[in-house]
Amino acid sequence: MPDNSGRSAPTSLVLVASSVVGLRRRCRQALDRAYSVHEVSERGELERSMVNRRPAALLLDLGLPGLGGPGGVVAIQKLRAATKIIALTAVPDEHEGIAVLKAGARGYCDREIDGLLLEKATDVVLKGEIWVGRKLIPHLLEELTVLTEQRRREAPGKSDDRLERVTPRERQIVDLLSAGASNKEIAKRLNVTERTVKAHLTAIFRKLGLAGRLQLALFALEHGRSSRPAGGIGPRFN
Amino acid sequence: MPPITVVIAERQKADRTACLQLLTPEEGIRVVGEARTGLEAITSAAKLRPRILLLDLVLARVSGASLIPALRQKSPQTKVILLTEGASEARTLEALCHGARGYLDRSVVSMFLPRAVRVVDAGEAWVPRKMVTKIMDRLAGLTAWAGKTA
Repeated sequence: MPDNSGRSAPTSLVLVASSVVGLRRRCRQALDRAYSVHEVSERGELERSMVNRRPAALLLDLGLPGLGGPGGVVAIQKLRAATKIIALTAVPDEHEGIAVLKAGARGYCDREIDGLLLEKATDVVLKGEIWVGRKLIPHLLEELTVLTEQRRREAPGKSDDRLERVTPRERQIVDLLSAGASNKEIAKRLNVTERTVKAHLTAIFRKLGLAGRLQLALFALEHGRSSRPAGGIGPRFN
Repeated sequence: MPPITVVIAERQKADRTACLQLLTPEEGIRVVGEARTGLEAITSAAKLRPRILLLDLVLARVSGASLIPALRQKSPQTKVILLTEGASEARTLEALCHGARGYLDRSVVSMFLPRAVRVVDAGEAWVPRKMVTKIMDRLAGLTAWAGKTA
């Protein structure tokens, strides 16, 4: 195995798995300086090398015969959890990218990636970080937001019926306030004095155990949708 | 091309002014409103429907709840960029989980704000790679959780 890095520490082993000779050659050229490189060209060989050679990283061509596409990454990762996988794709795609990262890969990039960048990607994942194209990051964030929201909704003990405690009149005020209306606007809308609005608000804060208008607005947005009175009162913005 | 509309939601006047001064000379970016409180941020986002909301991280949280889901509900097309000041990764990550599309520490605002606004408006995120790793770790955790409850 080549060891021409000149470092005193033993170099990390990087496995390159692809049936494409040219791709394997480019990977070797990119990594030869800093790493030991071992090439495999089909799945059985890859599985054996994962177990026997214990590579620090694996550059995995998603087109590898027998891999079964991005879904196959899970099985390969299972063979050795400590190996950091960088998936190489022929056609970068956000769904594929998210799928392979969820499968445990630490990197996802175009097969045609420039050699210097490939070396950098390998350095980065071996440091424990993730390597993905900039275009994929907003999709990861979107996925994160969706799952966070889903968890927030489904988490047990989150249901809150405190809004049931307020009177219909108070409920109107809650809806107007959460739509951004001021006390003055609420008073005008409901044909009462501002003082009355303030008195209602004090009662609402007490009943719901909230400290102020913003807390109330957020509370109403979070909990109030399903029980919002039909016909909708209060100004909707524009 | 219509300009990128921006609302600045910062507690401190000096910070609002700083953002305004950085963005005003920029071609294709127009500051359409300012907010000083969380409620004002929601109200003006709902009224003005800006493409970008610059949001003080301190305003993004109200007694343990995040303001960002409410903002997204009131103005779904508005993308939120957080302005932070030495904030912990955990706090920033939490805000990203709730839907912010990037964050910028005040120490680098003068260098990157216009670019961050354009990049986020174009649909990309403005986060350092270190944070991408945290995002992925959190995502893996949530995915495992979703798998269990499915």
